Amino acid sequence: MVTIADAITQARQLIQDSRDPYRNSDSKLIGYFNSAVMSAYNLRPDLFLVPDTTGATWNELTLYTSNDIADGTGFPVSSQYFPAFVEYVAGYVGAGDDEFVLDGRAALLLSRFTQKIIGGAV
Amino acid sequence: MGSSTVIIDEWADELMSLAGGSTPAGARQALKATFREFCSSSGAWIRKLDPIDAVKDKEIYCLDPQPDASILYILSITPNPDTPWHMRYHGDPEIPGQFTLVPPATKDIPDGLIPYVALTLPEQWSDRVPYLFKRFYFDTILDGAAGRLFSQPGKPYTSLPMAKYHLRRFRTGMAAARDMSRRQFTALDTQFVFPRWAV
Repeated sequence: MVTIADAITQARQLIQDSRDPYRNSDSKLIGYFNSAVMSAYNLRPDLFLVPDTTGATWNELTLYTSNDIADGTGFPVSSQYFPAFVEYVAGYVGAGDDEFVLDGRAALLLSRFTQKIIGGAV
Repeated sequence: MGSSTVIIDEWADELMSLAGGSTPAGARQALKATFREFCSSSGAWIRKLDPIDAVKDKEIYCLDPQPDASILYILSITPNPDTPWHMRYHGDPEIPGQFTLVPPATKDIPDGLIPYVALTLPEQWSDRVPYLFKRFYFDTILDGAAGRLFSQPGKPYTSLPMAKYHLRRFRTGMAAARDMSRRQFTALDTQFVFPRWAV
């Protein structure tokens, strides 16, 4: 089972921030992860379907914290969309204003999130 | 009454292959909606219920709820062949399992009424359907669910041409299912045989 911690770890690898002390804190990355969840819910609410015996429901969206990284909280949607969320987090870090930013790559990563969520693009 | 059941994973696995990018929950939701539409549009899931007693001067009768299904509508209420008597009935749209005899029976007749009903899935559903869906209507159900998925906008698997194709096959399958169920699965409506070269 993939976890939120796996997503944050892979995002750190993409942004070259895998070694403690980190340039970008866990709380910052988890904030971007929450944004990815909300964006995915906007584009694909069916990813959050919870089937039951009478039909299907949508639970309230969960806002994750850095504690969920340590707790090994599971990835909130089907794992086939795991790479999209990783790229969203890495992309939004890249959209920040600091000397390590590569604007072009950030824009590419953010657009890939949308393509993968609604277009199925690899 | 009652039959063996199969789990809808039989269809979900094929559906996930057809609609790349769909989730298991989305595939199940499409399948459930397709099963409901199939049952309500075709009335192909038919069941003969146990005979019920006709009671003197009683007009309104209620059929027993089915443990594995919901009664969609009453197909027919026939008198027991052993004690034939002239009767008519009409159903109740708000209470599908209820019917009214017109006129009521003039005497008590044990096992005097034999109901045939069309069924649909129960309100509380456990992801299992009767075996007849797999045996007779597997491809029809698959086409309906695939068409439903392909017609959803803004998805990786969205495809209107594929949606039209599968939904056309689904409607044809429903019509054939309705025809076969009315014929009580006895014979085709034609003796046409495809020539060898077309088989």
